Amino acid sequence: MSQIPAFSSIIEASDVVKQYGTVTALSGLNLKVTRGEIYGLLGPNGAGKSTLIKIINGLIEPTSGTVRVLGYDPNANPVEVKSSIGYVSENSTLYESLSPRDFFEFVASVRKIDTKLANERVARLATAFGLNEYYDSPIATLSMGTKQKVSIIASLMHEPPLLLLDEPLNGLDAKSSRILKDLISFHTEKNRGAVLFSTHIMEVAEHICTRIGIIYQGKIVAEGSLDELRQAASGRQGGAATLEEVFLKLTHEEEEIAETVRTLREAFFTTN
Amino acid sequence: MKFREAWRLSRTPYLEVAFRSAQLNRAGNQSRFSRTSPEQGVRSIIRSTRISKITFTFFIGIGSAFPFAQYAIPSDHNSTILISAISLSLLISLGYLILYLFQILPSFTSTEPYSLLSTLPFEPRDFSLVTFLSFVRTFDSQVICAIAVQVGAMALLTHSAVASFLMLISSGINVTFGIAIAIFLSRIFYQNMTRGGRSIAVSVSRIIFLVTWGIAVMSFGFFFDFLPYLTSYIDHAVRSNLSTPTGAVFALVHPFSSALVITSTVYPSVFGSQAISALRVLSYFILVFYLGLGIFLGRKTIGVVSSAARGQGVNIIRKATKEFSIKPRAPLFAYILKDLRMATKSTATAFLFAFPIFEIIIVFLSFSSVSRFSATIIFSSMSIGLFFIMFMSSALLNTEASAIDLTTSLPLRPITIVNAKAVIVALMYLPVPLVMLILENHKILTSPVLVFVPFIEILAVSTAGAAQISLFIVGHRKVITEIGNKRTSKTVAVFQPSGFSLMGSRDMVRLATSVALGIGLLAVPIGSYAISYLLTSNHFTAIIAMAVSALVEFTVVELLLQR
Repeated sequence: MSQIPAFSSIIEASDVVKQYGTVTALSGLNLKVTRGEIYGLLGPNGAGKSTLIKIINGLIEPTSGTVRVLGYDPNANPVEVKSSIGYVSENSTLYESLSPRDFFEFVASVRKIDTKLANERVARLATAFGLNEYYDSPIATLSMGTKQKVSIIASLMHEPPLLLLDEPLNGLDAKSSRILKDLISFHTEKNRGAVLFSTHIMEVAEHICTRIGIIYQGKIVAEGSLDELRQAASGRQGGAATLEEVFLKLTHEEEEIAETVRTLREAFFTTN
Repeated sequence: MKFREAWRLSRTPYLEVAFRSAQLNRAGNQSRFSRTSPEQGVRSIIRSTRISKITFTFFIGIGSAFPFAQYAIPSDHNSTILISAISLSLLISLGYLILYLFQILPSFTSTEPYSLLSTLPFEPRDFSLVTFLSFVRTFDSQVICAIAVQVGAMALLTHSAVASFLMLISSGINVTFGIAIAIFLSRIFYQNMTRGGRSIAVSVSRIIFLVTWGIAVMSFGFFFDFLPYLTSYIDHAVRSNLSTPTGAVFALVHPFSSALVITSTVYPSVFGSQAISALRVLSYFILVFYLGLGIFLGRKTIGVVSSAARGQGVNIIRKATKEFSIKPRAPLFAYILKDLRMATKSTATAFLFAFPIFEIIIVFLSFSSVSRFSATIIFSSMSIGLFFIMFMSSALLNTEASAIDLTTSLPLRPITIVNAKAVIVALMYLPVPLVMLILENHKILTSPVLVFVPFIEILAVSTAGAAQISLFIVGHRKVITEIGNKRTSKTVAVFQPSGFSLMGSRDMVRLATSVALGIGLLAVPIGSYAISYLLTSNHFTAIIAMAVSALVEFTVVELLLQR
């Protein structure tokens, strides 16, 4: 595990605003993720999940507000912050002409991982994720799921205190999803690291997250454990059993969905 | 499907391919979007694609027209000049087209732009036509411009309808050959470079392939550079009524064969005094043969583009491994290795690795004609190599491609990235001083210390490369930190992945600035040498002045980057 200052909160974001021209992606967002937490970021498309993850990683600058990762400003101390983060991007953009072996070699070099450690970790992870057949093929020739596995292995190689996973289960098969979920749990329980991940899969968030934040129109509109969110949602028009119901209630999308489905049914299924 | 309908439909996949290509060249659209709205970002990319097309159309137009300028001046050798002008014009348009296609072809290796199209209920023939037309749209204006300029010039200068018509056919054949050559070279490149494996034998065969392939691409792309050396042979062949062996070669090989046929309609004596000679008949037969070959290659190209759009014809060879060892290295070295690996696996940059071979040939040619090496000879021979490396630094900016977010997510300082690329630039220049050193052993030098001149210039090459690259990817930003009541500010170097392309107007300005900066930094040590020598008439003092100035500019650039 990397040498890091002993801060209890790994991520602290206050009043973060991000504007792309006239589009507001984040509007005064506040977030705190502490050690040992798996924080699930749930939100509809375009809610600002990826933008938030990129700001935390220092890939883009917020228009206003402050972000601290292990006490560091990602823009003032990019190298310190990026050394402490393992990042899986939404689209798994990798160096397509390299093979996974060349890519891991590059990442291990840049992250200055000890040769023996790097070899041990890569061998175990590559075997676990079944990369044997693809290890020396150009990444461009791999399927989306295999690319995602390569991206995940690269993010775990240096055992970072913070994992930022943007839709990490995209394209993964059942076995690999299970392995990743176990690794995430192990990372927070044993290593006392933290994980912030965005997902659309409610079942995953429901089962592995210690805390869930619902992001809507650039703000965290509700936050807490699943039970806490259920309580918050049941305050609004009846109870909610599953996270999906909670999510739809808190983002006010339940009525909109009902109306949309009614319109579609009328349009497509009433001609007979 | 009617051609008009197919042409209209082809616009959508074309825009998609053009967009992806521009996105690749811009290296990191995400970061660009961070400053503007996503809509503006997309519009900007599409606009830059148009600017790119216009720019290349302009260059191909000028390149195709320029050779005819010499024919406008009356001369005793008008037939030779016309043959040279037609040949040169056709070679320039062929070379430009091939080099341009290598920049856009990587976007055609993906089936994604056509994925929606392939789900629609098209006849296979219609699908082929639409995909081919979307491919044609990427270079339509360049092709039309080249053909129009060549036919227009012919009509204007010779007032011959027959000559103009034959020029139209020859230009069409020439363009078809250009497209077919680019696709053929591109296919064999991907077949070789996408093969898995990591053994020494595989690596060696890849390097051999890369250099051979690069020489082939550059030979087609820059063959017109050699034409001035061939003019005397053309003149000799024409004077002997093409009865010499070289005359026969000219009569058989494109584009000289076309040039001879076209010229013979204006100057019938090119083939001798007889109205019907064997060579004349043969030349027309060759033109018909090339026309047939052009039609065949055109049809073949349609098939290749269509199968590529469907994702067919891609052979992926995988070799399972149980051995997962990796060799972590120092970050700078790892970055150099990564850039080299990536740059050698893209058609857009791979041919640049044949530069050292061309540098060696050019240095060898310029040195072999003199018996005594003066400082002037050494500087002028070096300048060709220096010209080549100016391309290299800008081309290396494209190696990140769409994975710019990945690069920026790693704990890398901008100076590591810049220095890694600058080292590659210097490596590409290294053959020049080495070849000079070998050649200098066999000739007399004005002063023995002149041996050091090309080696000192390596430092200037690294400085220029670093400065040029940093102009594109490094920015400085003031960071204010507040801890309690204490407020501190510092300026830090940040990675600005706005990327590089020859497309946007802003990038053109930056490119011009970068070229001016590169030339300036390369010239400073040479200027120091010249001034010092003029003042002291001592080569040793001049060398010291050159070394000091190279070291000073290197230090200044590195210090600026380290901030």
